[in-house]
Amino acid sequence: MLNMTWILGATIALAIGASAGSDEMQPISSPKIVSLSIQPNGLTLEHGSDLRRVIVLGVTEDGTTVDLTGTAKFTPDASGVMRVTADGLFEPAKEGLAKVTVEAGGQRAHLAVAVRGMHVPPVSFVRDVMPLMGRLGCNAGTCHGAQKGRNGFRLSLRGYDPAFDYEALVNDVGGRRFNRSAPDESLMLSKPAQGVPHEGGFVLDPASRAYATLQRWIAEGCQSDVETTPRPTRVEILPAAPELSMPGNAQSLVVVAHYPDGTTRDVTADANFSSTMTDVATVTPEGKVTASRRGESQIVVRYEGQFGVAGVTVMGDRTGFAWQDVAENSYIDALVYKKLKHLKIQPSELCDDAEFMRRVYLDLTGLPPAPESVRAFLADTTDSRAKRDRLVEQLLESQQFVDHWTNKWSDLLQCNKKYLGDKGVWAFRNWIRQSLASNKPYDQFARELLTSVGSTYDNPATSYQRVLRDPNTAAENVTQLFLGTRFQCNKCHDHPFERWTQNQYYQFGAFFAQVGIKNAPGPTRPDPIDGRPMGENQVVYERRDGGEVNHPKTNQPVTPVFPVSHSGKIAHEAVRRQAIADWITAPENPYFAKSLANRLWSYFLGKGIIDPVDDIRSSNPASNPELLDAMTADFIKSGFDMKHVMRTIAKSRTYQHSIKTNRWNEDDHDNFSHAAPRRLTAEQLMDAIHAATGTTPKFAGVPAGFRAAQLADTKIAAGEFFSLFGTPPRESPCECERKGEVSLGQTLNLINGPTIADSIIDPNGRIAQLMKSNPDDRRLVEEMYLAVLNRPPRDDELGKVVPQIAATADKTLAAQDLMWALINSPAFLFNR
Amino acid sequence: MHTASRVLQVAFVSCTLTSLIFAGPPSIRELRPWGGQRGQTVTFTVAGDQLAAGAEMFSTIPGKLEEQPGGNAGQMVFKLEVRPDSPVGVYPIRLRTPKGLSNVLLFSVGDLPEIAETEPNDALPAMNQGVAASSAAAATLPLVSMPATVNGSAAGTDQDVFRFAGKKGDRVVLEVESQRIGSMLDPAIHLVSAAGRELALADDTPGLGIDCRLDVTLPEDGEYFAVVHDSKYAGGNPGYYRMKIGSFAYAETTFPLGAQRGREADVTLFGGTLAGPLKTRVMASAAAGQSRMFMSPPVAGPQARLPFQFVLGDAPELIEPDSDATDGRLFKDAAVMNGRIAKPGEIDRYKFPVTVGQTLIFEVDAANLGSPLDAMLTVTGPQGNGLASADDGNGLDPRLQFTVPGGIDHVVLAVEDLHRRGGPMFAYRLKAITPRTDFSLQVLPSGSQPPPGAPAATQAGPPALNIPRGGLTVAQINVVRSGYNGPIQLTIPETATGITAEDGLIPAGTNTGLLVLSAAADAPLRAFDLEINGQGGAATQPMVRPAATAGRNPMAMADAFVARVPAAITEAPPAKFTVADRSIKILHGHNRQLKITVERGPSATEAINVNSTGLPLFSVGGATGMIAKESNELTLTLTQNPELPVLGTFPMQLTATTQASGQQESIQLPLVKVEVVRPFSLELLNQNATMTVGSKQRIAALVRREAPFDSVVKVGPAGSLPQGVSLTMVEIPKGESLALLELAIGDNATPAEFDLLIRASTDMEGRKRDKDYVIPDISLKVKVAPKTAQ
Repeated sequence: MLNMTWILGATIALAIGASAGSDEMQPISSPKIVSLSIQPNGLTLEHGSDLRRVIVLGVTEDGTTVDLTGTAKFTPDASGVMRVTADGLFEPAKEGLAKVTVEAGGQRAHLAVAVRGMHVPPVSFVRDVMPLMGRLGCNAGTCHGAQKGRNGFRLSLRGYDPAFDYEALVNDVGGRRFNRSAPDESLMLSKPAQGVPHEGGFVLDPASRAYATLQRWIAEGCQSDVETTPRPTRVEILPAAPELSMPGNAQSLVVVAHYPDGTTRDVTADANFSSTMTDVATVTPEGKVTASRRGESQIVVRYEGQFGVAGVTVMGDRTGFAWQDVAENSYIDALVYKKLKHLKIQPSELCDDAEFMRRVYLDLTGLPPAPESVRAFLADTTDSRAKRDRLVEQLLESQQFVDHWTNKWSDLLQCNKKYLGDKGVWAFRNWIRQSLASNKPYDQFARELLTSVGSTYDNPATSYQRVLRDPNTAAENVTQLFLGTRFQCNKCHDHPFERWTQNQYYQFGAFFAQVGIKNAPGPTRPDPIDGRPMGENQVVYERRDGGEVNHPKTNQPVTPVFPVSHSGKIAHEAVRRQAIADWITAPENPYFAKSLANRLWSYFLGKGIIDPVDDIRSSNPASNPELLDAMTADFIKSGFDMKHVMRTIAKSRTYQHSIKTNRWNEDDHDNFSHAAPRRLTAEQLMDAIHAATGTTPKFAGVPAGFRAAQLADTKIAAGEFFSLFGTPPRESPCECERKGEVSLGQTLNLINGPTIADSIIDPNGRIAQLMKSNPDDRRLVEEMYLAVLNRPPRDDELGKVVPQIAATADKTLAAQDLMWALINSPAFLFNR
Repeated sequence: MHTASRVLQVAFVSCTLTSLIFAGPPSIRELRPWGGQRGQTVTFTVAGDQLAAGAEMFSTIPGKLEEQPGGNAGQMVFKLEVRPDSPVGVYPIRLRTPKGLSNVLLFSVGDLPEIAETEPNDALPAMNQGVAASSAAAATLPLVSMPATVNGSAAGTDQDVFRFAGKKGDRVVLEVESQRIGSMLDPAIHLVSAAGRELALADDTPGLGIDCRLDVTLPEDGEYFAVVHDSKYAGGNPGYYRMKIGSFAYAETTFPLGAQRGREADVTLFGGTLAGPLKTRVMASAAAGQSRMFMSPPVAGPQARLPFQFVLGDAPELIEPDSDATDGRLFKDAAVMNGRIAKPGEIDRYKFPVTVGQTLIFEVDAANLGSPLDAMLTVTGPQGNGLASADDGNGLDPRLQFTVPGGIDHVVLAVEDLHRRGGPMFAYRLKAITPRTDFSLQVLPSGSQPPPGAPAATQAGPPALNIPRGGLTVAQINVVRSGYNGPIQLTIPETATGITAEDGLIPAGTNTGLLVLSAAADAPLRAFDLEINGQGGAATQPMVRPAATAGRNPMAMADAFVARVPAAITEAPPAKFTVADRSIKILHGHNRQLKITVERGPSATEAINVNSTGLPLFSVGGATGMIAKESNELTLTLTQNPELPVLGTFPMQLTATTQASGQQESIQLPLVKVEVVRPFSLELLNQNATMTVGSKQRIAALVRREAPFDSVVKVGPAGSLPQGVSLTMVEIPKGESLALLELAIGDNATPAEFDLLIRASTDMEGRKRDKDYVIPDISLKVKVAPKTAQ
């Protein structure tokens, strides 16, 4: 018997690279193959029934790859250790080592194969049966994986609970699903094979490998290895990032499962495949990807609770593309352009100064610039980049910056009168405001929210605990807000699209199980959730009498456990909230800094590098992982300085791209090659209307002059405008609460509603004031453009509008009409 | 004891009082300004309703007060020369007219120059514009010269902006007094730079309740803006405040937090502008009735100071010993232990001797006194076994009642912070109280609710008791019972010359009583402090407790005035009323007439409406009516709703309203005791019947009717009877009262003892769902023995 160590070593050592030397002819239209890449580049077959496959890629002159697996010729050496089946499977024959020659595309390469043994292990319930049921769809949510099962037979959703499924299969209905002496008569086989009626139809071919495997498992006595056989720790997809040159090109995938004991297994046949952009690339149940159009898609592979993603790029016809170098202001641009260059996308030009000014004002302060600021900025002859950088710094230090970002964080932290009361909502808003005004480091900001104790009036950070209310809400809210992940699904079952388990949900909630909330002296009101008397002011504390979360399955207390471990320091293990705050805010946490860097990016660029920004998961990968990693590292290095991130983004050339596209980036919506128009938020729009019309906002419940962004809760100034334009109710941390779409109701409101109409004709408004100076027609038009669109009118606009004004006797009326038209234009309604 | 002498009359101008006619007592709602600087003369306006030139002002402000000409029903102007030695503080102000005493407002005396806000002053710099722009309105606000006290008002959404200048490094303190001086404003204050950047914010400041203080070091030379508003932009009315702005010396807290009244105490001051802990010795004294005194930091130099509160107790006090050992921390022979959680996580433990069966109340005062401590109190036995614990109960501070179990001679009291915090400011007062059976009384004047806009009772004390000459007023007295649940009789001392009291019995178990106060027709018009006492307990050991007005604000800087019951004798009402019966019965399902006669004065020529309160809602109606212009009497027909046959005795308060000399007058009538009773009762002449199986017996039942009820009453069994037992149903006709029911024990009955329920009923008109009116069943005990052998 061969020494096992030697076999492993040899497996690695014999991974021989591709070598040239084939004289096989290539079709004229095919690109010339200069070498082969075989993935994996070495195989170890564990036992007599361990079948494997490989991917053979041809590498062309320009570095792209072509899938040659289907045409490859595999020739084992004469050792007789293994065979290659007609459909390309590597099959063991005897223990030992073999060398396989691979020929494709006129090139030749070699592959080392080791066979560890020829024993045939019994069918494993965990590794064989469970994956089969998943592949056949038995445990899908639409079938027996539904919450109440189907026709009296219930499995855990997508097989997240093998122990439960084994019990359901073997012991339900008195164990009558199996006939161990005559396996074919077992209901488990006869139903899906339609031997007896099955509502789910014919899903199991008696001639299939799956049928044979199940048949053998039954014959072997339906043994359970739930307690002894671990599930895979990860899945590997080969190739990891397939590139398909043209629509119609295809690429087969191989999926390898990795187990805790270091073994691997080819699970391609049992894995589930899906494409996130089916119009870009489709994938068959067998794992064959086919390009449909130019673009990027992700192929999500699911196998036994593990997820893997392969990013597919369909390059399309880029004939004539030649990258034109552009300036890079920072690492952001370098990494964005690196990918653009690879994808053969040419970024847009820089936006002009006026566009930049309006954009950065709206993004940093929520307000458009005042006309006098626009004039001064445009008149400034300093180098454009220098003056733009200076403006960014100026805005970052403004009160309006604090107001705008207070409003954003008030959304995320659910600064809500309903939960916090009339005074509490102001107290919390002021705490957020002071935190942002002092540029409190994000880790400290989060820590205070997560660990604070005391009165919600004296220490308003405790308001967040009032919002969290209970451990379950905390588990869902904190993960979504601070980690950008969603734990809602795994409350009832393991997450269907991520590795999060039901146990982890309650383990995370357990960190918040000992939070006590008591009423402070003073007025009370009915709790909006349960109606019990709730103090307007409440005190948050750590309960001395403990407090636990019970798992719904066992009704037993759950020990708090971090969802993933990292190397960060946990200094406060004794107090649960402090421990979870340590874990969350550690620089080593893989989600904390990343999720905020991504979130901030989305606020400036209109889309997250991972999008949605609060749904980070394996099956929702980053469009530019390198960029996100670099931003995350930079954020951590800055000491979790949120302004630093904003500053870096706003000063980047990427942020300053024009909205105008070119031939090479007009179809790009994912790689930030040009600016994307974003409808102003309700608060931005309201404040911009007042700024443009020179009127004073008057909201109920606050002094005149209070801007929309300054309200502690837009419900304070209840009005149709805010709800129509999508202010969030602040009842969840989800970014999706804020609606950014455009609707007919919005259009009608803008055209006919009182908000714009009353502001334009306000006797103290901009037009009324302007008319007192008796301006000439040209100046009138210029002032209107500067006030509304924050730029001077172009010559062609002057040429059209000035004569219209001149022809109108009532200049005030003409100015009002012009302002109305400009406000209703996309140039005003959108941040471009 | 009559205490009228306690009211200090500062100014009384009696020129034309008798010629004025008012519809009701005066009410005051605003002072402009709300305070003045001592040693200076301030002219201030009192705004309100039912005012008049010549109205008498009552206050305790040390100084000279003169009414200025031009007063009218809506406002009066006074000139006040505040004595230079006047203590800084808050002083109550009332006005009196012939119609009575007004509510109270508080006038502040300070030691800084006074400034009044000038509206409009709402605009902030850079409020709605681009970053570089600033509001011209804000830039032109008058520059406040420091130090100063700014008098402002910020009701509703109002915000007040004040401009001041400073240099880099200047330490400026801005403190807003609001709740502490009786305002309904919950203030917040911001400091804003000239560019519109918010630099600092304060809302609730520990030690100041919901008032606030900002202590800032200016970052650069230039102008700044202080912004004051209600913390939720919903300032109550009145929403006044006084903002002190300048470079002040102040402390944030003391240790101990208080001392025994009349004793000197060593006190250490902490925080604020003090460079470090500052030790001083103070005499714990304040005016009678006050439980706190206000101290200023004893720092040298001309710097102005901000006062802070120091608690006065009547029991001996201890200071937490230095020793950490429990034995070294013996807490006995004293009612108060002054302690402090000096560092995070610290637990103060005290050994407290007890006797088995003893009941004690342990109470902590900390957060209530402005300490940041959220105290937890734990009682353990000598072996460390937990006996009791409390977190709250005395507001956020703990309070627990504890009965000592057997086998121990001491307990250990442990005080700690709920959040495991600590520091020099985490002081507390731990009290051991022996509970006693007791009660206390609070007066809420009836029939004279504060007019719209007047301060709420909880802020500035309730209106006074105004007793019309030759008429009456009804005072409502609330009881707070502490173990005593018996009746309480309210009285006034005989020395209350010219005043008589009627009724005033607070029944056992109830928490409210009414006291009718009448003034003689020739009683002089005057204001005085009325003493009302309540007596409870056994006759041999009576408990007599004085009543005080309700609504003491725990944070108010002046609270002595609410410990009295201010009263006034007012001019006679325009009409006098006589109620024929002061005590009446009304039967279920019946009516009862009540005759009221009026003796009209010369001005009472219009129709008079009579309304009532105090009767059970929906059960007794008809207690309203109108006396026509040409009539002098009214007969009310009180109707008892047979669908709602409640029982009980109810004090009916009748109030007459009429137009007299063009004014709306409200006149209280004597109380009428209304007893709602059943129309009949049932009594068994024998409550027991002993019979044998197969026997019969007559049961005699007596029906007693209340006049005027004379209908037929049916008497018979209620519900089902045991097997073999029967009881006849008998109708008792009008004029008769005796019913003889035949009880038969059949041969098939089982020997046993049982209660046989007997029911009396009548058909009652007006009952829609069930005409059968039933009174509670009565029980006949029946013992059935076996048939004896023949």
